[in-house]
Amino acid sequence: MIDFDGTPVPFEEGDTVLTAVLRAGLWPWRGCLCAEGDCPYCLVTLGGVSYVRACRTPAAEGLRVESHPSDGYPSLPSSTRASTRDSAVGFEMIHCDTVVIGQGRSGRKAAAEAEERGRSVVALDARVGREAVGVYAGPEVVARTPDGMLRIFCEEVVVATGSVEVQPVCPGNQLAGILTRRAAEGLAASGVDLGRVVSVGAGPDGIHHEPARGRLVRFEGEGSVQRVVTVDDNTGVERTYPCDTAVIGLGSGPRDTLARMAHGSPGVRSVGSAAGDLDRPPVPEAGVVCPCSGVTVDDLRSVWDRGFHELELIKRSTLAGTGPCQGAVCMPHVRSFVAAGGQELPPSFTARPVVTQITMGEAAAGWYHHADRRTALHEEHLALGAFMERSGGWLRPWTYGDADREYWAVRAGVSICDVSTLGKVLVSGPDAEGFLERIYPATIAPLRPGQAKYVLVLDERGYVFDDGLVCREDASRFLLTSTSAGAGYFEMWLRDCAEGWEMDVRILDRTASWGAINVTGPRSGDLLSRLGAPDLLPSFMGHTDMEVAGVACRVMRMSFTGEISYELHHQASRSRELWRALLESGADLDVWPHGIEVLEELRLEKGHILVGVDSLPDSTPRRLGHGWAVRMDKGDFVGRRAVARTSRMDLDRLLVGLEMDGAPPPRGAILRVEGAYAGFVTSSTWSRVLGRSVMLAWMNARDGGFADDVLIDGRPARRVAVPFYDPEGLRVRA
Amino acid sequence: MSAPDYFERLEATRIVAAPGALDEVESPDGGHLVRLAPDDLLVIPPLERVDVADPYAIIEPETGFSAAWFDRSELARLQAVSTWEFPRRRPDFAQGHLAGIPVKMLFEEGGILVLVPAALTHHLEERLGMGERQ
Amino acid sequence: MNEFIEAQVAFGWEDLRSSYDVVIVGGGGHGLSTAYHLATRHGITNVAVLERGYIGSGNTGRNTTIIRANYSIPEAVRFYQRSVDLYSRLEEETGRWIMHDRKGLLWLVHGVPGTRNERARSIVNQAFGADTVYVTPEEVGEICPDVDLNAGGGEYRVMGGSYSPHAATARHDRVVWALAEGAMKLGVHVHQRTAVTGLLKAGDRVTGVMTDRGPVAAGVVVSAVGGHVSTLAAMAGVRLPIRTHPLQAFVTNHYARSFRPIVASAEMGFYVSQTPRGEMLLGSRIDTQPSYSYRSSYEFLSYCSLPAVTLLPFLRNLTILRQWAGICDMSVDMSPIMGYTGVEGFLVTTGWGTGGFKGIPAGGEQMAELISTDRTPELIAPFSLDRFKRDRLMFDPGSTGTTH
Repeated sequence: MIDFDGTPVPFEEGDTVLTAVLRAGLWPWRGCLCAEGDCPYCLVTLGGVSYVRACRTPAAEGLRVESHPSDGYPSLPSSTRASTRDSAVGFEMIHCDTVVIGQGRSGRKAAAEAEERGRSVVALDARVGREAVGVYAGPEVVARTPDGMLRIFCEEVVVATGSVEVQPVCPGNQLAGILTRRAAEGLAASGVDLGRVVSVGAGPDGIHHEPARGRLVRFEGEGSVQRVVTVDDNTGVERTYPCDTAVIGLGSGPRDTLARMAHGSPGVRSVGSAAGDLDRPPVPEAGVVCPCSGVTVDDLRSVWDRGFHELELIKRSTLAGTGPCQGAVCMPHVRSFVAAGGQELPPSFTARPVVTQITMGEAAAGWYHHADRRTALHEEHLALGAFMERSGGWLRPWTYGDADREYWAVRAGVSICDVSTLGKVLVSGPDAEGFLERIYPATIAPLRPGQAKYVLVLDERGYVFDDGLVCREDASRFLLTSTSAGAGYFEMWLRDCAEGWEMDVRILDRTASWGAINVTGPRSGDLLSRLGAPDLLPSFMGHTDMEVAGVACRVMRMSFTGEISYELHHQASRSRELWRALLESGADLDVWPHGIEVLEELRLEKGHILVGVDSLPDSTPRRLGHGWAVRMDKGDFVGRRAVARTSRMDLDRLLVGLEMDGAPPPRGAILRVEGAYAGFVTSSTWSRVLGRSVMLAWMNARDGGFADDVLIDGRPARRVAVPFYDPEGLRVRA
Repeated sequence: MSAPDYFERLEATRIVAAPGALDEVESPDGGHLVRLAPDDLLVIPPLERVDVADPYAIIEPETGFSAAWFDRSELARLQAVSTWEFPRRRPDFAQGHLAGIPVKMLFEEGGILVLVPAALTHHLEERLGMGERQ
Repeated sequence: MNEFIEAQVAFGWEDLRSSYDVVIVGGGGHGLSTAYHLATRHGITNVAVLERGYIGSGNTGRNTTIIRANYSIPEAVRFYQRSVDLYSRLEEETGRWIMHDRKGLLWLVHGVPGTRNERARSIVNQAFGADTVYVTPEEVGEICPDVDLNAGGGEYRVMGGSYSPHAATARHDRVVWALAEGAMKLGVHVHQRTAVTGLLKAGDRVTGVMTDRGPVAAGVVVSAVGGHVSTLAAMAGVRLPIRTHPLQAFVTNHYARSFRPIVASAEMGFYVSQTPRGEMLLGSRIDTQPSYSYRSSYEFLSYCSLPAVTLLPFLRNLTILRQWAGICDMSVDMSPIMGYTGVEGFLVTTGWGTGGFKGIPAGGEQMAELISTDRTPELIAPFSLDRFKRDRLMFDPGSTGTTH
């Protein structure tokens, strides 16, 4: 038994829900049923999913089927259902030579021919539950099968989907008890009792029926059809045929939506009746044309008379053809209607996927959320209770739970930070130095082996899109670093430049292969000296290769936090070992890691910009207050012309340092000068060490200058020079 | 046992050098030479000593990938999560995506060695339904 | 009976004349809005709008119809808020039902940096006239109880967001028709199936257009073309810093209306609203590869559905009805380009990116004022083409093509 709206309905092997329900003597659907998945009449709700066709649903024991509400649309499903993972829906991708859609006579023939030619063939047929959803560029065919979603990549698609029977358009065509000819033949063969049958047009085979003579005028009845009325066009005399079931044989048109969807792509062709012509129906005179959108012939006339003369305008103004049957019912009639207006038979509406209505859950199958990268230290962070945050395509520790402890470990003791995500690129070659001179606006040649330099990276417009360090290893080899978020693009951009300039360099991205741990704080040297050779530690902005805790490291002494810092670059396979050694060895120094949240405070106190946070996509070095990082007294470099041009213009805005008493205003807080908008805050923090709020902000020029005093949220703030903390940089050089 | 339980960090040597110089590098016994690009070579397992006829060659230990060996009976399962068709030639090498994750694949007679960026390993393991790491 | 069948608008088509004071190329929202405002605000009616296909057949008829002003820079907030205000009066003004529906927009974020950005957005919005407020996860739950704040497992848990009560939707076609009809009633000509094939010039000055139906002289030619604008501009000798990207969308079948707000997540890459007819309408970010293609992809259905069903689990059971693609003209700074081009007699309104529909009323109003007064109105001065030369770009993180 299946349960149909609470009524138990028996079924036989091979039944669809439609067949079982009709055989049981129920006829819950209005309109002319096609039983082939084209018309929109037999839609039901099944397992919480609406718009399922009863004629495409195999009957199964215990199946609960609900009909759609007769007045209006199905409700949205309950929002209280707990979400589940998408693994519930099967998903597979396959590759073959030929996909044949439809396994009628022409489809079977096409499949056999392709196999004879030695091609691998995948056959689809909606009647056995392997339904094509769409044909996409490639060609790619997407199908729904009993096992789930199937994406098929192929060389050739044969559309052998047969034909769609033309539906009747006349008053009464929304009564129950009307079938297309093929539907009637199939249902009768399955044992559905159709009672007294009157046929219109070509009559059904194998069913006793009375042919209605003349042109169909209307159906009559209460709820379901009781009389078919025709007219003799010569005499004008109407004739009435009493019946239980009306069977409609008005011809057919190609079921070509899938082929039209392919927009004539190479590799997609139609065969059999899917490639045939439309039996053009007579110009509709009255009745419902589009059952999905409830459009009548009068509606078509109404919009036509008001100047909607294009097929697409008629569709858009009446919404004919935009419902679940996607125009299968109405399109031949609307085309006929337009042609009657003195135009040629217009081509069909644009065919758009999907032809089989999959659920969003099915569409989501086989897809994944963005794959955030993890550093080699991911598990270590979790073990320390870190709250992880997405940042620049990576998952990074935002905080280990106690920002105060993290902060003071850096400012007063020693702390470590996982900076493995920094972009790291090796460049080597006879042209390496010359290459980098062209890449960067800074001078590279004076850099000696073992030295490093802060650099901006500009685009052709002279805007800053990244920053980092250049470390010279020897005459012809350099290590470049970039921001975490920019690393992927930076490496690609380097390669493009090298190729475009035909320079002899080798480039190797080490971002994912090297871990990096920053050891920072006034006692960082103490910690490292316990784990390596203290006299080998580099001086400020220097780098050297040495072992730390037995792990081969490139130790770079620079500073983002404002304290003495050693960045330990090493093979990612050794990261955990090194991290643990630092924590264990520094236990008595109260070493404690810091996360991104505190790192952003620390760097802000030093006035270091974060590209992408403080900078805007059109930030020139001058606007960022980084004019010093550009040397115009050197050769050509990317962005040089633009910098030369824009530096002659008035400076319209400037990234400035501000400080104020009290709590920090949020990012985005607005600067006002004499009540007028003067810019906004890009980064702000309460400085624990300074006892006041500090921030970076974009300030607009006023009368050619920049105000010293502004109001933020009504509170006074002062423009001050950066860095806010340790302006002489004594701590980092100590 | 044809399906590996998880990916393990790969130890290898990476050489970026003039293409001609890379042509001369010899494969370690029982190992693999994987030409990632004309100027980019991955040597598995890592080489003790490397002679490359390019004074500017970048020769680095490579631990940025994880690797797992899949028996050839697993081929169909991997193909089912790939938008590109695997090569039929053996041996062969291809780069593409498996279940949306970028991979490098070495196709051998007996199976496939799959390399994945270490930072994405856990995603691929999860998407291929591989066992939880100990 | 279908209440959504257009029952009022009537077009009066006229023959093509050989000369007009103003010729507008492109019968989409911006072209028709410019014509409408020329006629209604400035009494300039010797105007022709030339449309290659049928009116609204380009991106106006393909977009996802969201009207909002929650941008991130003052200039954009001001401009789009003007458009929001004009939209809310358009039905009263034209007497035509455009299905304007003030729904409110929830813009969700899933990390701490995101919450900072949404706070910043609400600050700049409020300062320049838009009503966006920052919301906590609890407030998100109150505004839209359907949102799974835990996002099915925490990976994309909702950390907060912004809410813009002003955000609305309207039926794209009806906006087109209301403007076209309003302009035509006052004497403006709209010519469908009239393709512009070249520009007429006298020296450097543009004096009209060549069409597939013959030459048409014009005092001023305005390009309101979507898609192939660079080709038309090149005929005038104007180089536009524009690239064109496809943007896809899909709708589900119709369901009884009960989903009130527009919900978007730029981080996860989708947005959704329920149309007046009850379809759920979904979109995502622009395709990364530039193209003029109107082809849909199955991957789009997948990558748009996954985040949507993750945040709004009830969507999982809805059946997809139809997908389609439009194309977006993205300028270098993602903001529109309006006004003078440096070539006499040739104006543009372009670079609308993903904001074209939102900008229709204000864009047309301001362009009409510019044409009528021969001066750039203050509201659109920041969006003039010469900003690229002057190095005064209008980068707006709120219009980067990720969410619309």
